[in-house]
Amino acid sequence: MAKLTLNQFQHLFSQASLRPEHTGVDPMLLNGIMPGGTLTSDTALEVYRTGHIVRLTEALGETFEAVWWVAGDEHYFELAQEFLLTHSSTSYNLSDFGKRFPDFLDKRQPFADLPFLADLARFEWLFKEVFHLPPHVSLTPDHFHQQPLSGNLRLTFGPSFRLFRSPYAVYEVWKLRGTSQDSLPAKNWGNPQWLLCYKHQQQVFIKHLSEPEYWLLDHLSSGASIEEALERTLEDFPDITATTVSDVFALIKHTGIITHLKMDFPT
Amino acid sequence: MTPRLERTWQKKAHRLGPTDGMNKRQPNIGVGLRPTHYPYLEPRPQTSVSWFEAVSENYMDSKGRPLDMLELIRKDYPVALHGVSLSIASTEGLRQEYLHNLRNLVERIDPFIVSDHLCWTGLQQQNLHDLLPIPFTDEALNLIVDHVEQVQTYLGRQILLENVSTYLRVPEADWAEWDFLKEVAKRSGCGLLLDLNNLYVNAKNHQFDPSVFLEAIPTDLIGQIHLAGYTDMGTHLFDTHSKPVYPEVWELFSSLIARAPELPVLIEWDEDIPEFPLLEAEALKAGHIWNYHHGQTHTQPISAPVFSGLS
Ligand SMILES: [Fe+2]
Repeated sequence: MAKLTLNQFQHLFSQASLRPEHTGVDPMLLNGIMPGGTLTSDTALEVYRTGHIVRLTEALGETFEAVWWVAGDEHYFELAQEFLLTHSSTSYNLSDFGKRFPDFLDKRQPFADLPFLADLARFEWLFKEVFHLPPHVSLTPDHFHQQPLSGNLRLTFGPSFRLFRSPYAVYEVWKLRGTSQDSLPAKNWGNPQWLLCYKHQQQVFIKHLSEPEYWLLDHLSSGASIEEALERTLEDFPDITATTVSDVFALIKHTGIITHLKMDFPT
Repeated sequence: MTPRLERTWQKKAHRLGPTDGMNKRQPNIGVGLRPTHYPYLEPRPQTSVSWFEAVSENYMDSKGRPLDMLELIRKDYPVALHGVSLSIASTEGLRQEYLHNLRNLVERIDPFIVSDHLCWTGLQQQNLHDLLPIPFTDEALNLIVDHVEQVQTYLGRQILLENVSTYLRVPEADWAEWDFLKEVAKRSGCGLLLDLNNLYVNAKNHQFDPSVFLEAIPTDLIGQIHLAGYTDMGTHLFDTHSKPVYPEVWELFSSLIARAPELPVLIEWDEDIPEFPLLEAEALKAGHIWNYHHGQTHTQPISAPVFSGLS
C-alpha cells in the first residue's frame, strides 16, 4: 500500500472523526495506522471520534447552559450531537462553536412543549458575546448634567449595549438554570419580554423594559435623534406616558451605555 | 530557514528557560491559570507557585473578566502563554487571524514563554479542536519547520512545541518520535515543551522505553516541562489531566530535573480540578524533588517508594 501523504492522512482522519456512529472508515486510513495499547485500528479512531463529540458537546454546554438544563441531559446530548455532526466548527476557538445553535433549534423545534428553547439559546449567545466584550468609556451622569438631553441630540451607544425581545420569558428561565428541573413548570414562561443587556465595569447587567421603552431605545440606537425616536415611538404607542419617557432617559444617563452625544445643527 | 533567522533562534535556544522574576537557584514550579480558581486568586493571596501558565485562546478573544484576571496575575507572576489551536502541522497552512490575535495577546501580557503543540487540530472548515497525531515523516518535518519559522518571524520570538499523547501512530515513518521532535527544534530554532506525562502515555501506548525518549532529547533544546496525570482506560492510557502525577512520571521528572535544574515546570490539571491549595501541594512535590537534587540541604533520599507516597 502506498504511503499516505500528510494531506491525505489529515483529510481521511478528519472524515473518520466526523463520521456518524457505526459507519465505516476508509480502508486506506485503517491500513495506514497502528493502534496504541490493545486498541484495534477501529477503536483507536473511535477514541478520537468520541473525543471530538465530547469536547464540542461540552463547549456547547458551557455557552448554552440553560438550554442543557431545560432539555435535560439525554435530550441535550442528542441535540448537541445532531448539531455538531451537521455544523462543523470553522473557528480556531472552541468557544466560538454554537453561533448557529439557536437557528438549529428554531428549525428543529425539538420539543413541542418547550417552544422558547431557540430564544433561550439566542439569549445565552448574546450574554456570552457581551461578557467577552471590552469595557468602553461611557458618559457619566455629570456629563449629562452639563449637556441636558434635547430633541436634536443623537446618542452613540457603547458596543456592549444589546436589546433582546422574545414572546417568552426566557430571562426568567435562564435565571433558574442549575436549580431543580421541577422549578421550570412552576414559572410562567409564556409572558413576552423586552430586555436591555449591557456591561458596566466588567459586569453584565440585564434590565427588564416595557415594550414602548424597548422601542424607544431601539430607535435611538438605530441613529434617530431624540425627537425622531420619540415621534416614532408615539406612532406605535400613543399612550406612552411622560414617566415612561423620563424613565428611559434616566436609564440612559445612569447605566453607562452611552459613549457619545452628537448635536444636529439646523441647516 | 534563512541564515538570519537561524542565528537569532539558535542564540535564543541557548538561553531557554526562566527569565524575569525567576530564580535559577530555586525550583521554578508553576500551575495552570484556570477560571475555577479566579475567586481564590482575585484577592492576590500569597501562593507557593513561581509562575502561571494561561491557555492563550481563553484570553486572546476575550476582553472581559478573564483578561482582567490574567493581567492581575501578571502583576505578581511571570506568565507563560500556552496555545492549543496553532495547528502547526496543518497542510492547510497557518491561520493569519489566529497569529494576529496571538501576537496582540503576547504584546499585552509579555509572557516569558509562548508555546503550543506539535500536532494538527483539524481542517479549517472542520476543526476537531483536538491535539491530533502526525506521521513522523520527512514531509511533515519540512512542513512543520516551515510553519515554525513563519510563526517565530511573525511573533518576533521563539516558541516552544509540546509532544502530545497519541492513541495511534503511523507506522510508515522516517523518524522515531523523539528524533522527530529534536529535528524540528534543531532545524526551526524552536524549543521543546517536554510533557513527561505525554511521553509516558506514548511509551505505554506504543511500547517503547520512556527513558530512551527522555535521554534522546538534549536538555538545551527543552524550554519547559509539563507534568500531569493520565487515566488508564484498560485498553490504553488516556491523557486526561484529571489526576495527580503518577510515580512513573515523577521518576522521569527526577531524572530530567537532575540534569536541567533551570527548567520551568508546570503542573497541568484540567478536569476534576482540585482547590488551589491542593494544586499548590502537587507543585510542592515537584519542588521537593528539585530540592533533593539541587537544594542546600538534602532531607531524604528520593526512591521509588517515596515517589509512590508523593502521588
Ligand atoms: Fe501538556
